[in-house]
Amino acid sequence: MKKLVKILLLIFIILSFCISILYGTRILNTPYIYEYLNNSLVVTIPNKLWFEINSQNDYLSKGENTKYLFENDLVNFTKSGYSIGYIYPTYTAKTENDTTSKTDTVTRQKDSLKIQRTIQTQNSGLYDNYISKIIFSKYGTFLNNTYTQDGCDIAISSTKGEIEYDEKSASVLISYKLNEVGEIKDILDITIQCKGL
Amino acid sequence: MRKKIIITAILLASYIYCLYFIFFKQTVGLSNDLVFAIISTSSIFVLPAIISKLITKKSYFGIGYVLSTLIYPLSYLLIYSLSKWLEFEPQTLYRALAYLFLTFTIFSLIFLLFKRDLKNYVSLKRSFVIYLGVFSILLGIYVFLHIKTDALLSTDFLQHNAVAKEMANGKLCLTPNQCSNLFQKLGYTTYFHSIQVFITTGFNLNTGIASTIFNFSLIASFAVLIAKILNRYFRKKSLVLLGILISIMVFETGAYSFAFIIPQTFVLFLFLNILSERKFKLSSLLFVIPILLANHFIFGPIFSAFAFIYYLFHQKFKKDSNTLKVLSMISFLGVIVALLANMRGFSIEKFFQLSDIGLLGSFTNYYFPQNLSFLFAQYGFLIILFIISTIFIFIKKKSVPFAYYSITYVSLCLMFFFLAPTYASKFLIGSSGFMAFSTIYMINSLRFNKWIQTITLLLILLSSLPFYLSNFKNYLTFYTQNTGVISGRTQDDTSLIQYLSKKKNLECQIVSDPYTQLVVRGETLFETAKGQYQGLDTRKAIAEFIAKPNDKTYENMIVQYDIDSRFCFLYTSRIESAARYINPENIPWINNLYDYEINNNYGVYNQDLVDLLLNKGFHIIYSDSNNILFSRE
Repeated sequence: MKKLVKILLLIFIILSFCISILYGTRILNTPYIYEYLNNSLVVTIPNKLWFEINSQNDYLSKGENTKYLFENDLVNFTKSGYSIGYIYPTYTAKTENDTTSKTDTVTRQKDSLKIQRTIQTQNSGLYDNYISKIIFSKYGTFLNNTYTQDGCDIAISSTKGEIEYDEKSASVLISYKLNEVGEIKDILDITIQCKGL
Repeated sequence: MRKKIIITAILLASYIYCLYFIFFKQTVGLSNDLVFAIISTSSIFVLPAIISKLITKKSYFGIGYVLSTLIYPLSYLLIYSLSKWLEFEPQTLYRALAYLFLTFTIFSLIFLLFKRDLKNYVSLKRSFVIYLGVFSILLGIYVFLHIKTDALLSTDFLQHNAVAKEMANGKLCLTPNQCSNLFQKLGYTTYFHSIQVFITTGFNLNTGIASTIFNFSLIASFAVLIAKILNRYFRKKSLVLLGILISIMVFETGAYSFAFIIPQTFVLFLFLNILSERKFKLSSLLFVIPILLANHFIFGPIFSAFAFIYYLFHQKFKKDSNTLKVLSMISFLGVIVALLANMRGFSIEKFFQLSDIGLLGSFTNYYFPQNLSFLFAQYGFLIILFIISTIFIFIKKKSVPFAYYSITYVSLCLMFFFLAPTYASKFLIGSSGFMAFSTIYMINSLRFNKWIQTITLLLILLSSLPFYLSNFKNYLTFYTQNTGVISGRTQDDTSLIQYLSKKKNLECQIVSDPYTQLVVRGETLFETAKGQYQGLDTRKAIAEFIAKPNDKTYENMIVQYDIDSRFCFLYTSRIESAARYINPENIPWINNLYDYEINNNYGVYNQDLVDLLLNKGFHIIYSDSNNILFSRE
C-alpha cells in the first residue's frame, strides 16, 4: 500500500513538474489578452492600451459613398483549443446577413495574432472597396504600418488589404479591393511587442 | 578556526567598506550603493537578534527577537525627546544612532562568533550562509526579470516613507494618520515606520534601493527563521534548504508574505519568531501580543490567536495526538463549509460590508470559480500537494504537533479566503510556508530513498518557479514604464523631487494628479491633496481644468474638498496624458480610485493653462519638460 502511494505521488509530482514548465512558457511572451467581448475582438495590453475589431464597423465605399454592412448583426463565435503556456486558444467568429458573410479565425503564436479572414459579399458594382477597422483606445503614432503608444509597438500586416491610419479616430483601416465575385481571402498579422513587458 | 577567521574578515571588510563609504563617498545626497545598502539594511534586522542573544543568552530568534525590535520605537521616542528638549537635529541623531547600531551589530557578531560555544557557531554559520544564499537568489531573480536593484516595486513603501520622513523631521507620530493623509484607515501604529526611518534617513538610502534591500533583508531573515523551524523536525540539510525555497518561492498576491516588507508581512515575521521559540510559555506570549497589535490592528490579533493555537498544540495537547487530529480535521472541514457557502454566493463583503464596497467602488474579491483559479495560479501544484499531505497526515496514526498545526493554519487562512471579507487574499498570508511544511513532512514520512527524496522536493520547487515568476511578472506590469524601465520611480520626477526636498520655506499643499502626489508626499515633506487617495471628483476637476483652462473649470477645481485654500499647482504631463484617450470614460486614473498614471514623459505644453494661472496670481517656481510648479507664495 505504502509503495503504491509512493509511486502515485511520484507520478503526480513528475506530471505537475511537466505541466508547470508548460505553464511557465507563457512568461516569455508579451502578456496581452485577446477575447470576444460585446461583439468585438478585444485585445488588451497591460500598459492599459486596448484595441478592438468589430464587424459592425465594416463598410463598403466608393468615393464619398459608404454603406455599413453589419450594423444590426451580431457576431457568433466559438472558442476552441487549450490555453496554457505557449498554447493559446483559437476563436472562430462569423458575422453574416443576407448580402455579406465574414469569418475571422483568430490564432496566436508567440506575440503574433493571426486573423484568417474570409469575406463574401454580393457586389452590385456600386462600391469599390471593403473596409474593416481596428480601433485603438488611445491616440498614438503610426509609422511603417506600426502603431506605437506607451512603449508598445503593434505591427499590422495584411496579405490582401491596404493599410491606412486615421489619426482623428485612432483607427487603422484595412481596405480590400472588391472583385466581381466579391470574395476576399486575407491573413492579417498583428504583432504586439512592449518594452519591459 | 579558519572558517571563523573568514567570516570575521567578511564582517570587518563590510564594516570598513561602510566607514569608507560614509566618510568619502556619501557626502551629499542620497545613496544608491548596493553593497552599502545590503550591509546597512541587514544590520537593522540583525541587531534585534544580537540583543536577543546577548540578553536571553539562548537564541537569536524567538520571543527575545520580537521584544528586541522595541529598540526602534524606543529610539524614535528618545530622538524625539532629545530633539525637543535639547533642540538637536533629529536627522543627525538618526544618522548617529544608525551607525552606532551598525558598529554594535558587527562587533557583537564577531564577539559571538569567537564564543566557545559550538552550537552557537554552527547556528551563526548556517544563518550566514542561508541569509547570503537567499540574497543571491533574489538578486538573480531581479536580473532574470530585468529589474534594477534601485527599482521601487511597492507604492506602499512611498506611503510609509511619508510617515518615516515626518518622524525624521521631529514630528510626533504615534499613528501614521497623525503625520500624513496618505492613509485611509487607521491600521497600525508607527512601530513599523520607526524601523523604516533608520533605513531611509538613518543610512540615507534612496527610496528605490532602500525598498529593494529592505524587502530582500526581510525575505532572507524569513529564510533563516523558516530554517530554524524546519531544523527542529528534519535532520537532512537538503530537506531544510528545499523547504525554505519552496516556502519563499510563492508570490502571494495581496498578502505579499515573502515578497515585500509592509506592516502585515512584518507581523508575520514576528509571528514566525514566536513559532521558532523552543520552549514557548503563555506568559511570554502575553508580552509579545502588544507588539503584534501595535504592528497591525487586524493581523496583530489574528497572529496572536494563531500564536495561542500554537501554544495549545505544542504545550497543552502535545501528547494527545487524537485531539490535535480532531482539531485540524474540524478546521479542514471549515474550509469545505466556507467553500460551499462561497459557491452558493455567500461572502462577508457582499452581505456585511456593502458600505465599504461603496467607498472602494467595486468588490475586492474573486468569486467561485475564479477564486479557485486564483488559488491555483498563486500556489500552483503546492496547494494540491498540501491537500494530499493533509489526507496523509489524517490517515497516519500519529504525526508531530506542527504537522497538525500547519493544516490548521492553512485551513483557517483558506476559510477566511472563502468567507471573503474585503481583500480576502490578504488572509492567505504565510500559507505557503505551512503548505511547504506539510508537504515535506509527508515526503519525509514516506521514507523515500535519499536521492529520490531530494529530487522529488527539487521537482516541487521547480514546479513552483513558473507560477512564482508568472505572478511576479503580472505584478510588475503596473510598474513597467513606457520606456521599458521597471520601477515606481520615474526619471522624469527626479529633478522635481530634488527641488522640493530642498525647498524648506514653501508652505503650500501640492495639488496634482494622484500618482505625482504620492511621489511628492513619499519623498518630501509637502502635504498633498489626499495623495494617491485623491477623490474621483477632484481628479475629474483637475483633468477638466487642464483640458479646458478657464475661470469656470478653475473655480470648479479649487472648491473640491481635497484641495486647501493655500495650494501650489503642479502641472504634470501625467495629467496631460488624459488627452490621449479617445473616450474620457476609459481614462483609468480618473475613473478608478486605485488606478494611476505612472509615466510622466508626455510633455507639458498647455500655454492657455500657464497664462490663466499666471493671471490668477501664480508664478512658476519650478519647471522642466514634464512638470511645472505654480505657486502664489
